[in-house]
Amino acid sequence: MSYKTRLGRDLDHWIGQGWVDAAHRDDILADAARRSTSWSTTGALAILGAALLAMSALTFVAANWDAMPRLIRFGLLVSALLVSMLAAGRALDRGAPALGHALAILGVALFGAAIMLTAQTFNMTSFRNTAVLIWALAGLVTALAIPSRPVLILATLLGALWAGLEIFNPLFDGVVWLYLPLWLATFALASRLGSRVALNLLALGLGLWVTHLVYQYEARVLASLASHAGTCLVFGAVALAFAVLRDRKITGGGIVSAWFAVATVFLTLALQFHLDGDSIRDDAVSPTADLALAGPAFAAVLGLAVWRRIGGQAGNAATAGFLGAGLIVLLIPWLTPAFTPADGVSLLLRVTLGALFYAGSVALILQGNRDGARASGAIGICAFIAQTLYVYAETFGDLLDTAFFFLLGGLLLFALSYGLFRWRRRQPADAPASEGDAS
Amino acid sequence: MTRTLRLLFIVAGMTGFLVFMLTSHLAARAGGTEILLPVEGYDPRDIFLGHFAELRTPLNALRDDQVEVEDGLAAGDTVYVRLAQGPDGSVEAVSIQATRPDDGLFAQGRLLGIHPAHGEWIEETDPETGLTLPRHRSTDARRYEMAFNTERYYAPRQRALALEQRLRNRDVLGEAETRLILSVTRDGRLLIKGVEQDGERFEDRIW
Repeated sequence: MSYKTRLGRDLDHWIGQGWVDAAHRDDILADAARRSTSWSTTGALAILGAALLAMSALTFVAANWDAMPRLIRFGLLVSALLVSMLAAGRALDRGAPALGHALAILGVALFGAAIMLTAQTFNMTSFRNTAVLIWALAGLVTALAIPSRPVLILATLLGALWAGLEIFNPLFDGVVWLYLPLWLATFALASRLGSRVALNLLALGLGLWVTHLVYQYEARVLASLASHAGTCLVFGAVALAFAVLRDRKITGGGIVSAWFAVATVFLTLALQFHLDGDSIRDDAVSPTADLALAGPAFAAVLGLAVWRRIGGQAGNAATAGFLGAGLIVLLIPWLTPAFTPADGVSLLLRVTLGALFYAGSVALILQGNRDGARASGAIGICAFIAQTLYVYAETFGDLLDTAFFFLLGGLLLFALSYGLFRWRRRQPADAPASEGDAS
Repeated sequence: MTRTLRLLFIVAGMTGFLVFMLTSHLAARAGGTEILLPVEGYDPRDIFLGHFAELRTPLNALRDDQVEVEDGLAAGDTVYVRLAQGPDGSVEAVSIQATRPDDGLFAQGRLLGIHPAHGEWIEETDPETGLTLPRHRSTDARRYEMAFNTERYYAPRQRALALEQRLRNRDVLGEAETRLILSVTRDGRLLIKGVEQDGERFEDRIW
């Protein structure tokens, strides 16, 4: 459903309730249509045009590679950069934002092309990744100066690209710490400009970086149950930290929190994969080594959950839920060997953990019914479906078993839906939802 | 301040950076000691990145039974390879160490990995049959794989294709070798200046 169609239906509802004067209906719809269309067509076409011009410049230089003297190539790139940026400035100053943003994107793209082609022309082979970082910084400064959300999206992508190149660079060893200040600066600008696309990309970039950070300190990461549990807690702690930002009305906190909540939920689901085989008995737990990751992460979860409860941002049930889930994840590596008989992993343990995961999913779905927490509901539904698929894959036998499984699953979902329906009828009317979220 | 003026400042910064990048590289290249290294492999690649070549030189893989190697090196370490230069400019590796030498000619690189060295095929006469047969002799030596940021070389299309053909002929017909012309800075960085074929230099010039 398009925004205009939805707005029309909402307006009819609001007019019926007496909240909006019916005489303003057409004016409101016309204004919404004018504002959305001006960007979606003119802006998109201008940005596509900028992309084609950038490709044209690159192809032209490549096609005349041998014919042009090296300094002429260099001068040509710098001139194109100058012209596009000045044209962007003129367009913005004269009230043509779509064209201005598109030309600014072209300018930033040309700067990257200039770095790469200069490095290539003069065989500066050691310069590749640093060039991408400088390119990202230039994009960020440009996005700040204009200001421009499209340029910020490009800068965000370049920042993540640089982090990825450094993380997988065989010549670089250690944690790519420099990404953290770059990420924070980009997040601050994205939050200020309200760029949801950039914020979503930033969440993904931070996810990549946190994975890299965990991997640097715990090389086994998902290979062992203990380090996998620690990774779940680290992602959970980051999700809660950004939930605190969302509580303080910082734009983007909810988006990052939601992405990390998704990662936490699915990492927690994947914890059960370790209970499939016999190798679990050989997976010795070292309290000092494995707590080095999981301990501080659980402490962070504990501190943040309690802080949100004291600040009135989370209720008793939600706080208890976070702490309970965190404690179970922390203790799983110790509980599992204790409940593991010699002939295989305890069925009781697996069923108990599965039931707890289902309970957590249902709690998230119920949480999603609260104001401004729709993302929690969506995550809960996805987690419920994923757990059901996992259980199905594990218990798949003959057709009778499968039919029985679907029967139970269907009845369970109907019961859940009915319980939710009854629960919602007892709640007061919904207020408008704010920026998502999951925690 | 208008947005045009702001963008003008940004372009000035960008241009300044590009000029600095170019001049600092050229100054380092001009001020270093020139050496020559034979090229062992050549592979023109990506059409999007132009005609660049993946190069290998003898420095990329050194064995501890051929050069002196400091104990305790591990993958990811920054290493320094001491070089001995011959009268024609060509160099040979002398040692690999983790500490930077105080003087002399050396190349700074990154240790990518340490692997068992390949053995060698030798001709051996069977005492019973009297037949000479090839036999593989294994070795306890280790091979140190290193990178020096000289593994990629961009060349104009015609020169790239000519280089490729020449290196193929060298493998098949034993033609004269291709050598990489490098500049070694004081801190051991290797900067590519060009290539040499049959004694003829093809140096990357500014003009």
